[in-house]
Amino acid sequence: MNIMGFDRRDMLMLSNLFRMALTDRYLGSALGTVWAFLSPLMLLGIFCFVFTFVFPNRMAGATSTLTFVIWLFSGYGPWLSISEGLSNGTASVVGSAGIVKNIAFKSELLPVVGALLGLVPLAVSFVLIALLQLVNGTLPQPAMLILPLVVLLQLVFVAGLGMFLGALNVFVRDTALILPNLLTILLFASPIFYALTAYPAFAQSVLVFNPFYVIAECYRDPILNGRLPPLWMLAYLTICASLSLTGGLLWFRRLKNFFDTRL
Amino acid sequence: MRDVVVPVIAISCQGVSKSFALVDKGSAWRLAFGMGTDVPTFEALKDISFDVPKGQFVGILGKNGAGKSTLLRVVGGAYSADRGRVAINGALSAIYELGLVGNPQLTGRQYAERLLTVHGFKKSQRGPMIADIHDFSELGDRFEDPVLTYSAGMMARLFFSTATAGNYEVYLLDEILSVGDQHFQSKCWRRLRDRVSRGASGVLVTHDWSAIIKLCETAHIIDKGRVTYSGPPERAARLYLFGEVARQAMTSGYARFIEKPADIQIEAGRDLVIGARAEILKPVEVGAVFVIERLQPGYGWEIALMSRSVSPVGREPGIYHVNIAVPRLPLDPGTYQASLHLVMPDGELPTRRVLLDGFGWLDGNGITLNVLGDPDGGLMLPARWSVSAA
Repeated sequence: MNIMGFDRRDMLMLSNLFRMALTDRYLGSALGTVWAFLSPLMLLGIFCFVFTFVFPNRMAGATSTLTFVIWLFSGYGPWLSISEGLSNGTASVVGSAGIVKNIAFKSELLPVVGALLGLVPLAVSFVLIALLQLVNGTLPQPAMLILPLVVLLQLVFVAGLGMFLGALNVFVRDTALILPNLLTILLFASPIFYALTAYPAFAQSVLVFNPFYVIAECYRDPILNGRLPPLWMLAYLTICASLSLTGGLLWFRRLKNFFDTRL
Repeated sequence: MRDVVVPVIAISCQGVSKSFALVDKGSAWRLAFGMGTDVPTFEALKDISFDVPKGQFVGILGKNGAGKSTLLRVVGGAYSADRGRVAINGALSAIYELGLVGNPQLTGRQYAERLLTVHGFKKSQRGPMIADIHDFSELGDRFEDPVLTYSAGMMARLFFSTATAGNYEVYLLDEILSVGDQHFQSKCWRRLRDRVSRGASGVLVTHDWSAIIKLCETAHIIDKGRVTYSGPPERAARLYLFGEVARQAMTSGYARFIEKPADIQIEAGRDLVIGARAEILKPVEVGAVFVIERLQPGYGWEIALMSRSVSPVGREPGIYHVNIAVPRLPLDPGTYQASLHLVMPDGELPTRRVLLDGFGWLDGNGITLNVLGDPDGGLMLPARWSVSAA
């Protein structure tokens, strides 16, 4: 079996690399893996505080503080996951120079591992949302069954972008340095903290095609409203994810022949 | 159908070339966006071909920067070749350099575990292998400490133990045997010989010529990315040490040998006598030195017999007879190399000797000494030998 140049052995390698990355990331710190859960929790807490106490009037169409917090988490959680995936993907090749130089394997797995690391903050957000919904008395909706598909599309999309950025970072090390700023700009340019309706009309017609917004919406619709996201969004996301992955793979495979000169 | 024995090739490397793009800050952008076709390149390997038969180690000698490590990485698949074909027949274990793979916070145990995982060993296989690594590396309690606290030698021990823990069929080793203390090195040799005797093959890349002689039956020298020599390891060592000249520097005009003694076959324990005629051309104090070395592929190199001091030959011009006598030759059966040289004291440094003429494997004209006999016969000690001239 061979999908896009990956076979079963590569899948085994992927799972090994993922476990290695997970331990490496949190090894050597006092609380270890606990940080994987604590840091998204803290970020979510900060934004929760800012938007419910500091700017309470900015609440986006919510009836109570609790529902706003759920709304915020269901959009910001996926964003945390995306940004974690992108920054890990970008740093993945340079950060694993030892493995790339010394072990014969498909290095395009590294940005995929980066994207997978984004699952950690996503899982934390899901747990939090579930708890809050329990407090709120909302029952899990059948529409939520679509979420695994959304997660998959998001991972594919981020993995493709990660391949592009990760390979670029080998040649232009500035990539990893600029990325945090870019991510902040991207966050505020996407209707994640605010409802889409908070933007001027002309901006709305453009922003509605922002893939990051589409991803957030695909999470929010099933979680908040118990209904499936619009079909066009899922279709659009599928197209974005496929383009991102094929483009990223082509780019990565062309450049990886030159990795040895830069690592 | 096992009648026809075809030599099985473990590693086949055909016409492999590899170049590196010389990337600077400006060309990095161009390369990344596909406009980098005009980026200058450095050709590290040029059309390299060699085969490693199953059950053999092939040595690759070369100076620093000759392309040895690059070649090994291409063979192992960590680098992709620009042209050429590499085929490996069997499970592969490679030690390219003592670089860390991963987080230095990992303990020795976790590190070994990780390397094994990366190589695809299942959990059930890893348990006994880790125990073997712990035992072989002799790290003791330090096995549980982070590898960043390890010395270079300890790291080498962990590396070698891990890389050879599995019963691989093909090994790629880079300089690994020149690290670590003598005790551990000898353990490494034993383990490698054990693997070879069970049919393992491999490539040993090094600039240590004696390591090549110890393990390999064939050696290649690479220089500036090309194979400049392929053949028996002792000739490779000679070429590597002295280059194309293939002779040690000799000062001519003072004394010379008139003829070369023939190769010798002798029963172990018999008296060995070698005679050679030498001519002194100018009145200087000429002496003779005699060495027997054991130099056997797969066994190693060692000095077997050596005359301790220079035996005087003569001072005045004329013809002299140099006689070497080793009573009851105290050597195991096997093939040895005898060297006989005429020397004179250096005018400025009396303790140094100036080579005048001679025979030796390093000069390409050594005297082969075949000692025959029962390998378990034992030796008679003490032994004395003399070099005299008349």
